[in-house]
Amino acid sequence: MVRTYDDEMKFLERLSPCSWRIKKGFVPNMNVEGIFYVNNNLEDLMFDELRNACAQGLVGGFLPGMKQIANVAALPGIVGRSIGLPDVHSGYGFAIGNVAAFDMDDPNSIVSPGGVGFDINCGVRLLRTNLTEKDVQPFKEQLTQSMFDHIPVGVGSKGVIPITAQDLEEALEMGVDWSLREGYAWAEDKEHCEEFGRMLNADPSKVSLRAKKRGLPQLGTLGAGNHYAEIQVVDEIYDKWAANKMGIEHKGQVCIMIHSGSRGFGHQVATDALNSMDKAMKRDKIVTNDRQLACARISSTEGQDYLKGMAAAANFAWVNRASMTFLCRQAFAKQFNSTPDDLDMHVIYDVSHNIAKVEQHTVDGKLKTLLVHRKGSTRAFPPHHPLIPVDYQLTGQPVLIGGTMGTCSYILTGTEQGMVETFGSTCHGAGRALSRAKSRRNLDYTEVLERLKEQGISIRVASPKLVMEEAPESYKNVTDVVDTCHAAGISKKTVKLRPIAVIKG
Amino acid sequence: MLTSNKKEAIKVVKSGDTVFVHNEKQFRSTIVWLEDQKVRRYKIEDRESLRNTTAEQWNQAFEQYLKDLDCPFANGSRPEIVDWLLGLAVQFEFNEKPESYASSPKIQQQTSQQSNPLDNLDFESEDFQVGVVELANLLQVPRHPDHLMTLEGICNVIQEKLSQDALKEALKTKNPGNPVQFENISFGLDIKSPNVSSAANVLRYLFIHDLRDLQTKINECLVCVQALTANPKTDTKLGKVGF
Amino acid sequence: MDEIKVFDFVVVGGGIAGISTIEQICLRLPQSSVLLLSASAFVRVATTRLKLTTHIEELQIQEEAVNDFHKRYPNVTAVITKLDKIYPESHIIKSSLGETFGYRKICICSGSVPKVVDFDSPFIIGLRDTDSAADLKLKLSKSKRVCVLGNGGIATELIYELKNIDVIWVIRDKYIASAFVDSGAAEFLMHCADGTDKNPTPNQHAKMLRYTTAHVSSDVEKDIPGCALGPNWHSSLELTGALEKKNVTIEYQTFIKDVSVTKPATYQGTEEWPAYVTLNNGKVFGCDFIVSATGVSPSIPDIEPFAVGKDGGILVTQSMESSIQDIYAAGDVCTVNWDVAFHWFQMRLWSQARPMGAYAGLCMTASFLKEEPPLLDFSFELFTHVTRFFGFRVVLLGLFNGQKLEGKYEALVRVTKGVEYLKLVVKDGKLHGAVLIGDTEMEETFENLILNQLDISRYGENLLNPDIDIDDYFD
Repeated sequence: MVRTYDDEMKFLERLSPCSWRIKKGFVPNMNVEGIFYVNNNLEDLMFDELRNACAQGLVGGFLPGMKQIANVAALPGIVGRSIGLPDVHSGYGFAIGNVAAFDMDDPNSIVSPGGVGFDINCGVRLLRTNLTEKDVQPFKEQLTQSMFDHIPVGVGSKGVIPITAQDLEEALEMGVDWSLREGYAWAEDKEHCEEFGRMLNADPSKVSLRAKKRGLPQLGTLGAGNHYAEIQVVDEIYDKWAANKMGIEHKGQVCIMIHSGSRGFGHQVATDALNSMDKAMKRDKIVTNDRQLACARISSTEGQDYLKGMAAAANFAWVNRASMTFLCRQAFAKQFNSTPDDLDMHVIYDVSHNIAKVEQHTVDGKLKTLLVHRKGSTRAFPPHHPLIPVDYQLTGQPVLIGGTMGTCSYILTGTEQGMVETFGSTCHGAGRALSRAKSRRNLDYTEVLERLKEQGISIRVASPKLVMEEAPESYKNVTDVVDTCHAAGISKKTVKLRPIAVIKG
Repeated sequence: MLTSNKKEAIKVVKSGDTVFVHNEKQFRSTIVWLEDQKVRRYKIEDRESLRNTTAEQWNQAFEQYLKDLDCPFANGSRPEIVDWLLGLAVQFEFNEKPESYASSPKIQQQTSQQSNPLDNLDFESEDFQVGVVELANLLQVPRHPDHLMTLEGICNVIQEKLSQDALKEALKTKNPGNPVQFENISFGLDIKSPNVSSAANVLRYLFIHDLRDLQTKINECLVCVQALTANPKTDTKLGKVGF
Repeated sequence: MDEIKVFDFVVVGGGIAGISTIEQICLRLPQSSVLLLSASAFVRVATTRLKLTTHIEELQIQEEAVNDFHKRYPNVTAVITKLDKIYPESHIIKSSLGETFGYRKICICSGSVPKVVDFDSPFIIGLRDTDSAADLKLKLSKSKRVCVLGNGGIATELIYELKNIDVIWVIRDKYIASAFVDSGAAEFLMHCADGTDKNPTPNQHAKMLRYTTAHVSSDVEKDIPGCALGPNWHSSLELTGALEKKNVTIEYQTFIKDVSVTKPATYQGTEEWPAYVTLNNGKVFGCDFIVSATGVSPSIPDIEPFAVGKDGGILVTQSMESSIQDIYAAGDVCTVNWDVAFHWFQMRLWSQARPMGAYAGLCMTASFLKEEPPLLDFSFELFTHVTRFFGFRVVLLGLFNGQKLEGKYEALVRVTKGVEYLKLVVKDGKLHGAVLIGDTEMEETFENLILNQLDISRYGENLLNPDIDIDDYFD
């Protein structure tokens, strides 16, 4: 079904200066409505995306974010609304930046690996120090090099943290408790992790051998792509009191941000689940709008196995971030001839971006137990929520927003309004699906193609023109994203951080 | 640490047989063994009813025994009772020859006050009561009708404000802490009356304070355990591992 | 006769595979006795491995004096000698110095020898080991023109590294670096091959690896080859000639017919040269000397009738054991003889020597302890290799040249001149391989897509659409 842009617009309605409603009918079979949060800039991007898709039909297999949000609203058992956060953009199955909650008491409710993502429990952790930019500036190069040198290597080598197959099994089950037991983490670290750094329903026996083999060499490694560690300094404090509660005292204070996930292990867990759920969908006659939205009933074997495997992958990611924390502390202590303790290198908080969790929320005035999928979205619980650490009981949960590598990062705090509107969720970072840096490249094929043709294989070339007639400034700026969340009241700006050095795997 | 001693005790008791709690005969003989060898609550001649493990009245004797021991689990399950008894036995065992456990310095610290001279004080004597009042006046601690309660208050003040650690801490932090600005904090309580509201807020704040203390204690426990389990190659203080 | 000393483990060869084997053994059984027979006084230790993605890693190789190595692993005895004979029944070996040792498990990691051209001429240098690389540096400083033979990794790297000299590059194939890349990539690289060194942006912090040839030994027996060249073998060598600038001429689809010191009649030029090269297409060039970097063949100790593969390597089972019990082999010398994973194949590269060595070490210790053989390491699931050609990082993944696909695949290409070259090998809607040249930062994404075997047909060529951050999409 291809509709004109004007027809599509009939299903969209502005709710507030920074949110829009997606009405039922925008895609078939919607059980609930959709909502997405934008400011003026982001709004243009979202609607351009839709306009392009209407003009060209769905070329290239990349659905516009709005359509993906609506397709999720058509999944069985979904309650409330399918929510698109300001950094929402095209992803596999679910859009990245989409939150959806499913009623645990409804036997038809589903769990979907596409709603969690491949890099399960990809997340951000922030360490503080009592150093200032001045202290660090002269040693920046050495420090960066030293952190590079400490990037751990895999199995069996004389790496900093050697891991055996048995260690992996235990780490999958124990999460940060494993790091704690082995002496790689501090007791205080655990306190400041979501779920206390361990998902209790993890079951390594539900994880394929291939996933374990794939994960083994990666445990305690940073990863490539959008994974990085950054040395940052406090650039601006918006809420002094809340910042103080996090141990952030003044501008120029040095922090360390670690962005990492479960890597190949998570990918394999997700892939295995997608394959098994394909079959389960036929058996249970579950129909979705998009093939990529493979899912299974929460109560089914496939659903349960996935949740247990996902939990193991989440634990894997926590061990990863804990290991990296250990190495950062090591590098700093060495450089400043001090101890991590004396440098006050505490974990401020550790957030998860790609995860599904069982939580209690009020829906239509009733308390319900829900399975909340957060993909490219951060949990942001308000003050006084029992699941947030005691230190943040009065401020609300810290939310760490990593910019794209090299841009600013933010700390937000959770709000009551977010709890009501978005199942206590907010954005996770910059929207990066469409990057402007790359589209400006001058693509030139002729000579290369001629050579390749001699080989007699069929060749296709990538051209940016297929999707976008005129490539707009399609990059979703992290500041726009954070400001929108703040303006919408679903989280509150607290601190802005600026990077001074990047360490990439 | 204690648990491992308990486990050892279990080993001693039943030489590896762990299901004894469910085996009536073994259970009874274990209790007798514990009393005979470790606990020694009764004089030897008074143990008769307990020793008669085949008697029908054994259970009554056992109940009496638990009562005499002030066992908090007297009505609890058998594993609970045995666990508690073993703990007691370990404690006695330890008190008997603490020097043999000298390799566990932490435990020694915790329980080495057994020869406390204070144990011989008469807490009800007039002298003592007067002393408490004087001390209370000195430290500006409000008086409670029960002088022991007053003493407890004094202890708290000393521990929190005057202990070596507290003094050191006080010296370190030049800033004596920021007064809490209650009006700027949302306590999440919807109370109309301003008086009730501020009282409730204070209580909430104190509750969070208590929670913090609890969490700190949990962390301390974890650190203690960590000292035993951590990879010996790792010294987290130095941030160093291996080699 | 003295009583024969019996070692728990004997490793023959101090290259990357051999040392990785020993390190693994020492990690698992630090108390065991290990004997290392090294042909060179220096062993090669892969010190730091930088993980690029899950399985792609760049190695930092360091040579370490055998004696220093012993300090790190006191349980290892190192003897600088060659293996002369193995007696499998009695589990005894004899060295070329005549010493005998007993073993419980032995691993042959004797690497490979360069295939040198058939002509015997003092003007031909075989380039394969560190000693010959140092030799090359010396010779270059006095030379004006050099002829390079071979089209493999080392030859390709050499061409780029040579400075201030005329280069004649003789290759058998239609395009350069054929062992690694396709013709399109070769075309892309060629733009940067000739003197106009575009000097790709300096490497991101610390990604550049250092290969320090601490001291290249000269006092070792001359007939014993030094250690094979490793990654970035040239970074400590300034390969500079005697001219002002560099000029490269490539002779495609040719080979050398003759090398002579006297001027052949067919020589058209007027300049006098120490040596003259005649190609099969009739062309004649004069040059100072010839560098042969034409690949390697397994260097099997000439001692036992091992079952060998077509390429001459010792056939090994999935537990790296040869046809003879308790004799293992790893690295260039072995030929894998099991049903390998679809996206993996053997190539004699240092990037395979390391995991093979480590895995052989695991298998040997497991067998020694009479344990179950270990699970096949995941590095055997996916072919990965990282190298640097013409200053570009080159990442090869899976069936990057459509190997095993018999030409029945589609290539998805994205090129930006002088910046990046990406080629994806797609069959039946699934990704099977990739060539990534330049700092594409896409290696982990495509590695995951190959391993996941996700259906990517709906994206078509948009998988490489530069407007879409595909790595984020599959996050």
